[in-house]
Amino acid sequence: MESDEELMTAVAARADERALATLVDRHGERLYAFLARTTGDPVEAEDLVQETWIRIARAAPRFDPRRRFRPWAYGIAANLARDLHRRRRVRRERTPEPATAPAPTTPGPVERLDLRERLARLPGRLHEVIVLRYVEGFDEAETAAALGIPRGTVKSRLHAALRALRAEESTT
Amino acid sequence: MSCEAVQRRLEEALAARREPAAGDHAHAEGCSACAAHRRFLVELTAELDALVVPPLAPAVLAATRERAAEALRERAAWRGFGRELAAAVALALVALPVAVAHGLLVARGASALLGAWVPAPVLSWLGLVYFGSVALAFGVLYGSLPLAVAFSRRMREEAA
Repeated sequence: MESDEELMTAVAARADERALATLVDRHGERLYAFLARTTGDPVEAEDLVQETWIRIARAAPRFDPRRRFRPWAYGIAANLARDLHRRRRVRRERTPEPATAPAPTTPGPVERLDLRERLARLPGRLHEVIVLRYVEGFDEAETAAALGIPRGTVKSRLHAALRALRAEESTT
Repeated sequence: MSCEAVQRRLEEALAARREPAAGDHAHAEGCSACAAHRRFLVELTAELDALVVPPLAPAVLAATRERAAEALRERAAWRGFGRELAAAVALALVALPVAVAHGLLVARGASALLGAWVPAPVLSWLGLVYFGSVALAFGVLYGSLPLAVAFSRRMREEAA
């Protein structure tokens, strides 16, 4: 079986559609799950996962085959998720606060809802580190490569995210 | 052994889904702060595992595959465009000295022919208009080269 990096090299060199389709089949679902977790919205994540693969296809010539494919692809997805967070923030700033409290989201087991809320409240840059490290199983170097930050920053962001989650836990 | 260092290592171990080092484990057994941190990490990992994302619909996955392939085809369509354009520009530039020489010849001939009858300022103005229109024609010609190359590629693709 060809490695992801070999497939990506074929995409870059020969515009190999079969190789690209294999990569989509291998990583499409997980990339979608990553986007759904970081954006908190599965519907937005469906659009973003398509956009991610379009960008991967366009950026193929810039892929360095000495680097790993997965962190590179997740980096593209993380950038799109960040753009979405930015657009949401701008929208929120432009839209005046509603007079009444928003309707509660679909209720689930209390502790799960708590965690979801606590995670959702985390700033995006901390949230993405938690998801990459604890859900996607990226190591420190892969997380750093995906997010384009030094390894030390991954460590400090992970630490800050956990501290923030714990602080919220102790107040609830 | 500082609690902060132990807690950092516990975080690392849980992120890597491995057991903490024996020393850190022993420390956490006897330290309430580190034990609480470890409990929190175990709970967090379990809860993250339990956060279920709805599966990606097969239709969306198929659309993703198709849109990515389309983007790849678009990119492939532009591949080699720069090379073809450079070749066309190089070919067109070969003709430039001939065209300039021809223009100068025409201007000199006209000047020799009309010099005796037409006043010098009018002659200069005519020369300026002539060279201006020649420069404009060349500008349009060279400026349309990318369009011409793109058109010829399109024709070739359609024929193929």
